[in-house]
Amino acid sequence: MKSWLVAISVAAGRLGGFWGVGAYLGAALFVSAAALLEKRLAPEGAVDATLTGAVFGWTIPLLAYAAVARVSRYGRLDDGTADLVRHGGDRRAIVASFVLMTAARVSVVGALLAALGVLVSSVGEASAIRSDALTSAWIGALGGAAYVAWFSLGSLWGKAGRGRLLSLVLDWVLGATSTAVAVPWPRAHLQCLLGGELVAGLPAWQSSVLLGLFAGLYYLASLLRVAR
Amino acid sequence: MKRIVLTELGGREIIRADLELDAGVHTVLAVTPEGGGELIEITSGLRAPRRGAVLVDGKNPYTRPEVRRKIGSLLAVETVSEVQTVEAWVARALLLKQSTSTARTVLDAIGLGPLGKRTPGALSPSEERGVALAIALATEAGVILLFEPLATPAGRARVVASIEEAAKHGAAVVCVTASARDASDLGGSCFPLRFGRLGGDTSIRALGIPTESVVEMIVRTDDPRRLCAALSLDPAFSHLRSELTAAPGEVVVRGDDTDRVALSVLRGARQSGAKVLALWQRGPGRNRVEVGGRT
Repeated sequence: MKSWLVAISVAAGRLGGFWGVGAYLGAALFVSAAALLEKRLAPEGAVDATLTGAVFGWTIPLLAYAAVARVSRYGRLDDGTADLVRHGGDRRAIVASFVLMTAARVSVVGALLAALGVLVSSVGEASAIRSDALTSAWIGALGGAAYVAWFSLGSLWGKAGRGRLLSLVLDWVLGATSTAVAVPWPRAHLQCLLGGELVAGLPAWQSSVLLGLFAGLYYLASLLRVAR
Repeated sequence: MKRIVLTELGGREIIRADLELDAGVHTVLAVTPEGGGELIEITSGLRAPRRGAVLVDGKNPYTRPEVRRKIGSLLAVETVSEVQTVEAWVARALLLKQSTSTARTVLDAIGLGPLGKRTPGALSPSEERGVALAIALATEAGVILLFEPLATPAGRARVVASIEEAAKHGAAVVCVTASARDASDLGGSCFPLRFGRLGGDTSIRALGIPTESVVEMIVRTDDPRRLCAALSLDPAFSHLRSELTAAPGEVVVRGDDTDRVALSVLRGARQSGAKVLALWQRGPGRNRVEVGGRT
């Protein structure tokens, strides 16, 4: 229990401070700027373009990547626990807390970014915009958590956690398709939830369930990957 | 009773280590630099060995948090983050160790109490190691693994006394050092570590390594011949060498005291008229200590 509590406070410290303010503010500015640009270029398709491009295509994956790297101290996730493990902390509990804390942060920020993207790029009725923003927000929250789980698993492979970079590349390359190959990757499901192509012919609600299941699977695999 | 058993241990730098240790002070003399730091990391359960096994009281510290809780360690490089003060750092470690001691008493025990209110980021690497040493020594009746414990801001005599005290209370203390003098001061049994291979219990005398301190400095000059001539009769130097082809313009000097050697170099340069372009100290030079022992 002490390992959990200490690890949560350590993760909060790593994701807060100047790094946190800089990362979250930078992401919000980028999304706002992209949304305004899209709105000026093509107002009728601005919401879709902002969400599929700036928000879910770039900002949320990269923010999740940066957050996992930060909480891992830019190395392997299990090496990032050394400060606590050496004094008797349970490595598995610490990794679990780190991933949960990071997922919670990125989920909240992902939801806010998605809503911000909709609010800035939309034109039309307020009620429709509000509904769009809420729908996008929960997709952003789910996407943020899924990306954190996936990158955390990647961070437990390779020297200095280089598997994290591989997991980002895999998501970008294989997740960009809509065939059966795309099923395990967050990007494909998120694009589907935003109104893009169905992943392997699965309806959108199944994509959201699969995305949640895969996030859970990656989380469990991360815990099994480390010794206590 | 604490017991450490290393069986056919292998790692990135450790080629083979077999050891059985009980309570008491034990010193691993790293005659060559390979494997000393890694030995501490693996034995304390921070890293898994590539081959072989580590058992502390019959359990693997890498997979058992309750075993690690009873192990105190001082690594080659200490880093800490996400704490506001040194006291908070120590308190966090004590919380995980489930120790009843307070941060203040742990720091005061080796004279580092004044560091308590400082931020860890403001500490020098040596001070960081000092704080880590204080935490390691606070490990009650367990296993204490220390890399160069006498190279910290806590006084030598105080650290040696604390180590002896811990051993008296039933701890198995393993110190890794590259200095024969430190090994001699720490006492206890001595195991040489050469090129990643850990040898059996032996005496420092049998290893033929001098225990007096050796300071080696490199002088870069515009006229090494003239400088060597001026330094050759100075008793501050136990060794003087200039390799005109391998390192032209450099003179290697050795003595027993950094300040004395540096001042004597400058005096010799003034007398000879040679310009000193740079002057720096090389580390203890573990390989050189060995060579010095043979000669």
